[in-house]
Amino acid sequence: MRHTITTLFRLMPLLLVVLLGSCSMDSGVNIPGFPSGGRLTETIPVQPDIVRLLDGIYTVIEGSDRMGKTVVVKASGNTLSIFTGKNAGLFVLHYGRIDSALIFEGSWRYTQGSETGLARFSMPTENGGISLLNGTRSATSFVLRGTIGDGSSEPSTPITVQFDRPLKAAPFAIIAHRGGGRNSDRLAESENSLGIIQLAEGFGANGIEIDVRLTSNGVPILFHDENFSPRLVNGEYCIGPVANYTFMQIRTLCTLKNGEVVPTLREALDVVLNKTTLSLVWLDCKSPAVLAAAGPLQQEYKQKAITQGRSLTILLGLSTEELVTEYTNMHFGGSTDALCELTLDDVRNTNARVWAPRWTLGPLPADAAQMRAEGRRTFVWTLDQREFILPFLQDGQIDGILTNYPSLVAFEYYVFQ
Amino acid sequence: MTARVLSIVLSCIVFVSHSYGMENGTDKYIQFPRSFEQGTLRYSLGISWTLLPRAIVEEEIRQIPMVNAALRYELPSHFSVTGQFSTVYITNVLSAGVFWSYSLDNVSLAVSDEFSYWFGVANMSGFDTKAMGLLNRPAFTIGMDIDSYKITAKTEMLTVLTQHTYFGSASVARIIPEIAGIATTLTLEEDLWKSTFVSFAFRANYARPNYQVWLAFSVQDRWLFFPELQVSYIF
Repeated sequence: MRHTITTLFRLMPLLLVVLLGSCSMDSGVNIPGFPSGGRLTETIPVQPDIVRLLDGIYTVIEGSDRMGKTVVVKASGNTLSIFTGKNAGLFVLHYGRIDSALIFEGSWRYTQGSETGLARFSMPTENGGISLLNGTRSATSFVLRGTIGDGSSEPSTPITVQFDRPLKAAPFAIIAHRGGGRNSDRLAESENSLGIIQLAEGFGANGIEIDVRLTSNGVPILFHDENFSPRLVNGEYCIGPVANYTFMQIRTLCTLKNGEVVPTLREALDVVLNKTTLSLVWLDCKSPAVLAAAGPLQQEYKQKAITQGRSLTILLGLSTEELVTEYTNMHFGGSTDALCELTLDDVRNTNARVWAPRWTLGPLPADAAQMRAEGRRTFVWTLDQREFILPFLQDGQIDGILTNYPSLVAFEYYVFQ
Repeated sequence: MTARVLSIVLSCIVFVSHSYGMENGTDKYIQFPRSFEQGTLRYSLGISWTLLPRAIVEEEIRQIPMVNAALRYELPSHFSVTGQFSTVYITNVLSAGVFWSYSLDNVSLAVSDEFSYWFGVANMSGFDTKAMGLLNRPAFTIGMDIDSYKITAKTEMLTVLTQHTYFGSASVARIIPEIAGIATTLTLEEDLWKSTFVSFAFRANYARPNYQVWLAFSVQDRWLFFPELQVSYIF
């Protein structure tokens, strides 16, 4: 017996090692799709500008147990999103038309959980379909009727939402962390990937924050951690300091967790400019050396955006004293756009357009008002829960929020009166 | 690397424990669910490591080492009062509870309930925060006395009763009780060497990480697994 006990307890460290390994893994969430493309295969395309007329706050007529009493409907790119307050739900729907009825199909997910399912909505002729297709907003008649289901099962729970009021027009930056979200939230695309950037608007964001590092041969790439590790990359030989690898080695040896390539900053800015309508990019520069590489790209894409008639702000993020010093020494002040996370004096000394304090300092309405008076904006990072978001919205002085859950911030911002 | 070091350390301790554990037959335990002499106070002092999930801490430091003190005072009719204090300076947990045990031969059982008050303060660059909360932890414990080993398995339910977070001029209060997780602790208490009584515990938490991470990381309302290791000296 004594031997057994001793053996068991000797095995305890082994058990611990197994558990250490297991608890670092995140199983993915499988977002379902309609078999054979669903009813959308029978539809003809609808212009996104028409669908944007649906943007608004909607009252939930049927299905409030799943959706809450109010939802936010917002079109972006080629999708229509619905944000629910209850369970921080997010619907991303593609659309088309059959005759004068609009069809919306896609999936839903509780952004902070693993529950997901299929969703199908339609807007029949008598509920605003004709008005919408004529390019007018008949506010009292917009009604979306549909069903949602759990997992990959055919949607059967009825949902009806009715237009209540339009969305606030005031500009407010809803900035998606790491291009759209973190790997730990088990999204379909990896953090800091080209794919996640294209999903960010559907999540409710109008801006993104991406992490920029340099390879050993000076190529700015998107990557958060200082080291390659199984947390963020696949590849047996992809391990250790990012700065030790050339760009070619990274492309050869490493892929992100969902199989994507590690993107360059240029590729990312190309995607932002040509495949999204995002209006803000926050470059979280991970070392002072990044500034010399990112600054010219920032200028290049600023000019490209102007040429395309796009409103796009690209900000160099200054999060440390070293970055502030380097930025100041490079005489960027005045000729580039910067975001400073440090003190108000640092913001002024760098002539940064944005001050970005950490949420743990709490709302600082006097400081934020001062920033506004100086023509600057204030973004708070990183807020992920309703109770913590609301005090900053109530304060009324901030101009944006960085979040891992843009749909949650979007819901609270638009619904908040 | 961390896991390897911890494993080696623990293996060495267990090996030593096996080698010298029989040299003194005197019982001294604090977690084992058997009553001892009425009016006796026993206490322990030790260290624990909480290993936080990667989902929260990402590439940052995962371990939270805490200093722990525990006491148990024996009352009549197999009742005990228990108390614990854990600190990592910026986060502190103070617990008090009642424990009732029943023994049959070498098997002992207990039911207990403990209230924990945790509090933390951070005033440093980028932080102007403090937080506090009240937890309730009802538990069921079973123990086996085998030779000089006292082996205890305790399963407890973690319920958050209240929680307040202050950040700058704002605050968030949660006052609706909610189940925040379950935890099972496996403890070995033994005479390690010549009346040097030591306990080794492995605790498996499946919970919404709470006071361990309130300060440094964004809040995640997800149930996650995170283990703890505890080593204590019993006085």
